[in-house]
Amino acid sequence: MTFLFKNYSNRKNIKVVKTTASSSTNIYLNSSYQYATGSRISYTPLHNSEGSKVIYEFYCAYSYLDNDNNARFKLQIGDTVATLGDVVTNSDNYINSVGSNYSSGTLRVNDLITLRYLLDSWENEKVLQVDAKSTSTSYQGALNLTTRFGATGFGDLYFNPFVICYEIFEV
Amino acid sequence: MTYLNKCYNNNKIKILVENSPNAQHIVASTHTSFTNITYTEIDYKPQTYIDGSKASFVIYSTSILLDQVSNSSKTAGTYRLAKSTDNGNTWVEWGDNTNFHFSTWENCSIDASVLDINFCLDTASWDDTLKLQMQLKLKQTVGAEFNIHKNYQFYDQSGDVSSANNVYKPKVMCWSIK
Repeated sequence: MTFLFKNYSNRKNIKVVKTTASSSTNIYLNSSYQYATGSRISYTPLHNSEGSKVIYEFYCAYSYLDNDNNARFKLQIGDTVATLGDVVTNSDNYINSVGSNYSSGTLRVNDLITLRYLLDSWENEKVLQVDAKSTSTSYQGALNLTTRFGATGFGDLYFNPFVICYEIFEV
Repeated sequence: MTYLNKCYNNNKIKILVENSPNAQHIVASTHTSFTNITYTEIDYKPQTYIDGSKASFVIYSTSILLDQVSNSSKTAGTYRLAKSTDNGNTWVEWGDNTNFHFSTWENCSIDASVLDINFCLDTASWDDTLKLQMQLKLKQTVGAEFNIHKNYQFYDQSGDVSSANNVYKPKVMCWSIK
């Protein structure tokens, strides 16, 4: 393991955005990337000139819909929502996955997920969000809820996603 | 004004770690109503600042291990955050979508996992110290049975050492965000 920094300062310039989940905010993932509701934040680093790094954290729930199911996540950044794009080419280091993509490897997942990314700081406000998809509609998963226990009192449960951004420094 | 130190802590971070946890055995035949999860309890009051304002959110985080007790048992459960205003005598659910399922009652469940739970809690009506903790319940008639805090099959370089006290130290933390 390589440590980028030996010592970080405390978190500074913390910003949090919380979204109340409901039937209109849960996401049944499709085979193309879509906005992961609750992951969007507008953030302005205050200490870019001091060499700060920005930590982006997204907390959400993931649920299976199909017996074989998965989710792919990638971080997006831009000056506005309309100009969002990959952080780097091919989203290297900014893309993750959960679940399975193999019909004999069935794993019915209900879980809470944390995505955490480290970025170089920047000037002025930028928008960050996570986009998500399943690899196909045959391997579909969902965000912001846990689901399908079937019996009375064990049905869908919504989870309020939230995103936190903050800056850290080498000291 | 010159700030001498740009590193200060105004997030009132509180962390509790149990160094010698006992396994908590959970089984469907007896845990069909919400049960306290050991070592997830914490007392906390949101940070107040020098200008008299209060933190807008508190992050409650806990990390616990779940592991089956046999090759066929399941770790599936329904979890919720609970609060107590009377020093732990009575507990009620926090609400605000802090209930969730983990794994599944059906086949192909997750055998073992470290469950990291994080909630972003509103503080609008939270002015005094509260006790918080996680609770869980199981669905009866299915094969859900597992231990919390203790591994089922644990291997080191000498092989299976499952009889050892191979526990995972549970952690619980709260911190404030203005």
